[in-house]
Amino acid sequence: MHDIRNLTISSTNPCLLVYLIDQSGSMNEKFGNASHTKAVEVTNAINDILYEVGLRCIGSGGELKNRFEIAIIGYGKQENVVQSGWEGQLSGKWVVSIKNIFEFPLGQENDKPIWIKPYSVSNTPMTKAFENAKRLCNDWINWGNHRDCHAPIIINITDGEATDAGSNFNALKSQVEQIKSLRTNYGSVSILNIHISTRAGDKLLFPSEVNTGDKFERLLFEMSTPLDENMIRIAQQKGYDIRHNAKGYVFNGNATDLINFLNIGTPQ
Amino acid sequence: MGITVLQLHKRASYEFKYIQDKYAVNSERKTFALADGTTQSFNSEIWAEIITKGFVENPIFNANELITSFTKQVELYKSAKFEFSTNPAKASLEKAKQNKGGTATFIGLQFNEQNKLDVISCGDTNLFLLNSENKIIPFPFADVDSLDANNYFINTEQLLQNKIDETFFKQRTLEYSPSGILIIATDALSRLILKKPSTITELLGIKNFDQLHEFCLKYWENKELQEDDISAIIIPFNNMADLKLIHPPKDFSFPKEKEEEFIPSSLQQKKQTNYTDMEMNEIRNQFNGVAQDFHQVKKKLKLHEMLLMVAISLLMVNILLMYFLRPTNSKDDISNAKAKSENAIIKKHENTIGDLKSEIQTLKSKITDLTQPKEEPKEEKTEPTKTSQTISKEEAKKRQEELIKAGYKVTADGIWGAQSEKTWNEYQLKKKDKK
Repeated sequence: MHDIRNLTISSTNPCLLVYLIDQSGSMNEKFGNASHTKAVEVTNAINDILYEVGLRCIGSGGELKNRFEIAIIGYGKQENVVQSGWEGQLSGKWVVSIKNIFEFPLGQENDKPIWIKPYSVSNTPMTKAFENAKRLCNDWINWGNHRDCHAPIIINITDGEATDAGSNFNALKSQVEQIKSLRTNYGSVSILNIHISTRAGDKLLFPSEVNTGDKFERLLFEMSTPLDENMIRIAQQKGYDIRHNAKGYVFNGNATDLINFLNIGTPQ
Repeated sequence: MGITVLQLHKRASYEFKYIQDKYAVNSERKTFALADGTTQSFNSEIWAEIITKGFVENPIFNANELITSFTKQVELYKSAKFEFSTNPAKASLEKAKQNKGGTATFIGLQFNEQNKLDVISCGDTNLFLLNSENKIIPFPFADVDSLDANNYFINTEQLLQNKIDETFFKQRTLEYSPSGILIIATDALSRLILKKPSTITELLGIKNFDQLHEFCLKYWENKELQEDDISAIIIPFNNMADLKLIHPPKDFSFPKEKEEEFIPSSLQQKKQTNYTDMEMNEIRNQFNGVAQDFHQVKKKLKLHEMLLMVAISLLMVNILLMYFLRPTNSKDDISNAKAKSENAIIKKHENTIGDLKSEIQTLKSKITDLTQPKEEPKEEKTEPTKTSQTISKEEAKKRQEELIKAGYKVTADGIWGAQSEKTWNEYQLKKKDKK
């Protein structure tokens, strides 16, 4: 395995970011103390992070370098359906390069481009979403020179329990374990989870362990991979006090945590 | 050997003009500066150039004074012209990036006369001092981990907002021996030297661009050197008068990577469209319709084929018939036909002659009748008697009936005498005349 410190994410060695977005009916509930819904909060965060990624890819001459390729997978917009979350001219595409993302935004809000809109419709087929992410990552790793690239990073944003995980969530666990076994020459695929709730307070950021009675909270924590060196560095730069074996899991983070979390999951 | 400046841009930048590492040298003042403009900031190469040039013109080793000097130079940075993209999404990025300002690392140094060297640094651009015993003294970072942990940069906006203070800088005075060498390198090369100090020997052996290119490619391919701009200033303490620049020639560029869109094959295969029963029926009907049309077209084609075959056959038969039944040109056939027609004409003429002969005969007999005496008719009479005697009663009766029909006043009693014979002959003559 090569030393990740010698890897620069570039157009010749891009990185794949996969966002799994819960679009189930419960996302229509209010986000903490905010006046808007969880679906709106997640959508704003994803649009912001896409913009942030664009900022990291634009060169001095105004040209966008394809340093990142991004997948948005929505689950729960229809019953048991997992689909590409891109809309407008990018509709139906699974993976889009940052260059094309800025060529085809859905529109603009407050002088900033947006790409997705909030949805909160049906059930929560999270297992199916991870299964799709697994196949996507596997295909991506085995394509072109991607074995010499940073391993893909999957960021799952959900507010609830998977409806297709089977008893004891074995189906979901199985998919996650298969994803963790996928790797490039610079490491294995990372899985980060952000668990958003209607409750305000009880915030838990990048823990190294959880003591909770909520079995789904525990499951999401166990599913998450430990933060790598870069993530720890960015998290520390952003003021988070994290331990060495911290995991990529956030429970009940506020809007800033949500953006920071997505930023931490995006390698520099 | 004099001062050598080595520079090669990262492969992702393609051309040397896009390098974001900038340096400045003032041989007279023995002052040097190197700055690494960060990829993600706005016009960072311009900012890097401004601060390095400013430093060698006016070297400052007091952190606070240097911050003040840099802050004054922000104005010059901001005066640089920039044309925003016509794509609103990209223009929005450029504006946001502009608002965040330019960012660069910095290292500046000056040799003084007491074999001492003043250094001031901010960021991960590092210095390596090689003394006469080939011992390496790195500054400010002595290992890769501390270099990677660096979080200090000089950013234009932070300068304006007084967010940069002396803690961002590291300053030291180093002693050197006149036979020693100093290397200043940006982060990627510094990281390689810290991990693999033996590369210093290779670096010092580089005499031209080809060797520099080969050196970088080797370590890039081995994944030991980060894919970044590579810059180093090599300063031998015993000769600071000469300056040699080793960088890419004007026509040099790295090849652009192919822009191929990644399409996940396993997800594409699974893509299905769910149709309702009605839609399925409609599709089925349309398919059947197409199948029927196709069948009919096939049938018609067969018919056309058959007709064509028949036409060709008929044409062939005609040609054969024409060949076999073509008119023959033999002389026998022509003479036969001629002979036949001649015979027919002869026969016709013979018949006419026959008729004329019999008429002459009749006329002769009439003339004889008129010219001969009465007795003679006895003879003549005898003859008709003879004649009358030759015909039967029934024949006589038949002739008498025919004469009655023709208007002659005779009695059909079956008695045929000379008078009867005469009348009969007259009748026959008249008949002939009529004809």
